[in-house]
Amino acid sequence: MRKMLEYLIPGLKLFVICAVAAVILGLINEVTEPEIKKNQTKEQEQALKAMFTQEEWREIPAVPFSLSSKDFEDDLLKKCRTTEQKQFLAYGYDFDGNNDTYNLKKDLSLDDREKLGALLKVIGYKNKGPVESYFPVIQNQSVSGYALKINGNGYGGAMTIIAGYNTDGSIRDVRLLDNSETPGLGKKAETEGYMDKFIGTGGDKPVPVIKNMLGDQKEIDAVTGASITFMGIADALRSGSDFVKKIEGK
Amino acid sequence: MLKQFTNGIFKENPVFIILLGLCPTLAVSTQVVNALGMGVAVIFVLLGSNMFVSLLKDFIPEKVRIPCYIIIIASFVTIVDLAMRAYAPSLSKSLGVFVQLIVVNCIILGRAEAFASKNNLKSSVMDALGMGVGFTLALTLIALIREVVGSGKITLFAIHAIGFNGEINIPYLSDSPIRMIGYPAGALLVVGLLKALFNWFESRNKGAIK
Repeated sequence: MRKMLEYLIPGLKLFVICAVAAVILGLINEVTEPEIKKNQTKEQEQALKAMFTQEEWREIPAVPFSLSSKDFEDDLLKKCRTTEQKQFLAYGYDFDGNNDTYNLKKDLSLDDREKLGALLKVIGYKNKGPVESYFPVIQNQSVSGYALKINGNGYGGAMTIIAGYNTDGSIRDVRLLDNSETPGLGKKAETEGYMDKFIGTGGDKPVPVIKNMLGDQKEIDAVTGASITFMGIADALRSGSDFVKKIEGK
Repeated sequence: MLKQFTNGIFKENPVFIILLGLCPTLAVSTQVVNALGMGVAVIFVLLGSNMFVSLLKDFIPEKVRIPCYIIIIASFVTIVDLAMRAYAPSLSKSLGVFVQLIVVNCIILGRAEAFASKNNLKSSVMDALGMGVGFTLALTLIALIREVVGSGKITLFAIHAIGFNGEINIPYLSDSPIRMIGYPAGALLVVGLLKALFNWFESRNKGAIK
């Protein structure tokens, strides 16, 4: 018994310290979280405004383009609570009997896309693709391009990327926002000029996803030592390009 | 009491004499503003952890003392990290992962183990302040040399009210700086030379006493 307590008490004391620390950190997170969110939105807005001259931006959550009928029923239909939600899902997705899949309707209006995205969020569906949401660029009442918010994976973990695309899927401009890349190496991706190698690719020209696809030796040298960051960004940009092509129905 | 404070600044300077926390020193000393920001963050964490370790030294069981210290330190680091991200986003961006890495900064665990766990609250607070200020001064000195020589300017906090954008350019040097000093290899050179200078002072002082 005595022996047991000898081992038990230190463990319990450690637990008490952990519990107190957790409560304090929870409280602090409660205070700082809204501020951090505000900073992130501000940064995102600045990135968007630097890419396209547009004042008002609407964010549309990304939804899957195609789901197997089993996934569609399990992940979406069964989680709906009202018949209205079910009806709207059936309106947004067409059933393809040949492949046994549900495909997103191609000619949905932006309003419907936004509503569908909001619905998926409400029923707790987590989109698996790297594209989190998109911001259509409207010129003369028609969509002239998209800005995408893409989650990439770098050397230091998750990265948030804002990228502007033309409607053919080619890249107009890229900004690396939140990231934990190594200063002096991967962090260089934040500097001006780094993203130049991607601009114009994604349409007719493929996005360079491995170092050897960069033509210039100078550009290869620029990403050497931080290849994981480069590949993370390139991968995210390529998925973004595919995403834009799918929205445009190409 | 005052001795504990000045000890950390000169006689037991963490960077130049006891050679603790060299990793962040080399990495963060690229700009003066980063050095000051890192210094303030370390002072805060050191103060918090030294205070709590000293207060809880009778509660913390000997067998699990290191995990306990780490939890206390990590909590303070998280507080600093969250506060910086919320209220000083640009500083948090430029310091990057180094804020989180304060958790494993050996100055902090070193002082908790070697000093705060054996001394009372008052001495521990003075020790934390001394060590923290000593670290900040050393870091700022290295950053000042590296930035002036390596890129010909001094970056401080921008004060928009008086139209100060936070950068002081040094004529001549800003046109043709010695870039190498700004790179990681330059950090090693500068720290090495400063350490040699400190050693020289020390040996000269000892000679004078004899």
